[in-house]
Amino acid sequence: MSGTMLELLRVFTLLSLSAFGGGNVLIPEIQRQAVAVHAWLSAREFTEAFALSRAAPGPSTLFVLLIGWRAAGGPGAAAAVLAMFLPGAALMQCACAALARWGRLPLVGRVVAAFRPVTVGLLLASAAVMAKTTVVDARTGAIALLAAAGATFTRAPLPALLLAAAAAGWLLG
Amino acid sequence: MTVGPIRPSLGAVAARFLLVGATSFGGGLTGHLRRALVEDRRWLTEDEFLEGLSVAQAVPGPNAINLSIYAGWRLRGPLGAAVAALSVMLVPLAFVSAIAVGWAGATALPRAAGVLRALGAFGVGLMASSGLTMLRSARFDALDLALAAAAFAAVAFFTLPVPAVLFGFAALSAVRPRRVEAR
Repeated sequence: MSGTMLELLRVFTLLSLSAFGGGNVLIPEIQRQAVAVHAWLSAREFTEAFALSRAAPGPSTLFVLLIGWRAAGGPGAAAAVLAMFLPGAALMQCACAALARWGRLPLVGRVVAAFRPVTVGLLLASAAVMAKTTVVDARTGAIALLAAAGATFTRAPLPALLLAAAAAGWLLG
Repeated sequence: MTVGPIRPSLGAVAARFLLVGATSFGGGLTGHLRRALVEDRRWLTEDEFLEGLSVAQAVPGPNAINLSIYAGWRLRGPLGAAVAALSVMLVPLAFVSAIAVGWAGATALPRAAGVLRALGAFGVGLMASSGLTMLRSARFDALDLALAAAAFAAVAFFTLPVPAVLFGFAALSAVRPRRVEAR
């Protein structure tokens, strides 16, 4: 295995294991590692990769695939994705197994319950942080409001609402 | 947590998570999961979903993937968790792989920028809707609401590091006084 592949595995495994609170908190450190430390791609390419990846569905952290691709082709892409997603997923499987075994203990219940208000606050904060870069004018503001209203007050299927938003974006340019 | 009384087949779990993954354009995957699991199918209750998201944030890794693992676990045990996580990732993986291969030509679509902006705004609206709905259904008291608001402001306005806010406010929340012992 080449040095680049090992570095990709090492960097993204460590990042994955430090992503407490979600993957979005990692993006500045991913940029530092990929651009400044390892020069897998230029700063301009990094910005372009992140912007392009937003055309895809799924978690935003999946854009590490593009970094691995630029660094070492197909195998690099696979290494980056596996290192980014597998360690956290394995830990979450362990957490679920532990909850299944010990979840009824009062102490465990209290610890999990303690996170509940913070979890909701952070979910709303991630919407606000996303809004800073995506809700930039009256059009995007209107789409965000309509999406929130549609999701909250109607039973319309989300894919249909999503298509309506995409069509609005296409027509309004 | 136990594997719940609702046990859809592994195939049904795979199909549901595949659809959610395939349609979650513009970010906001957590909002899509809430809608699909709590509202469209009553596979998880509001309480279970909030517990799942809490554990997903406390364990490292992308929230939506951790949340998929939690939901799959509750529905079908460890195998269900693996199926849910792989299914929700499948189409996004194919999509980003295609973007990697076509990278050079992908920026040449003029109208695509407008569609992307609209989808990003949609994701924001969906996440806000999910958060507000959870806030309403969680039966928080005044202190809980204050903690939620403080965590929100710390990240959204003061841009404090998310892990510090998560564990700091959770610690405060754990030692806060409670009139009745919860559960």
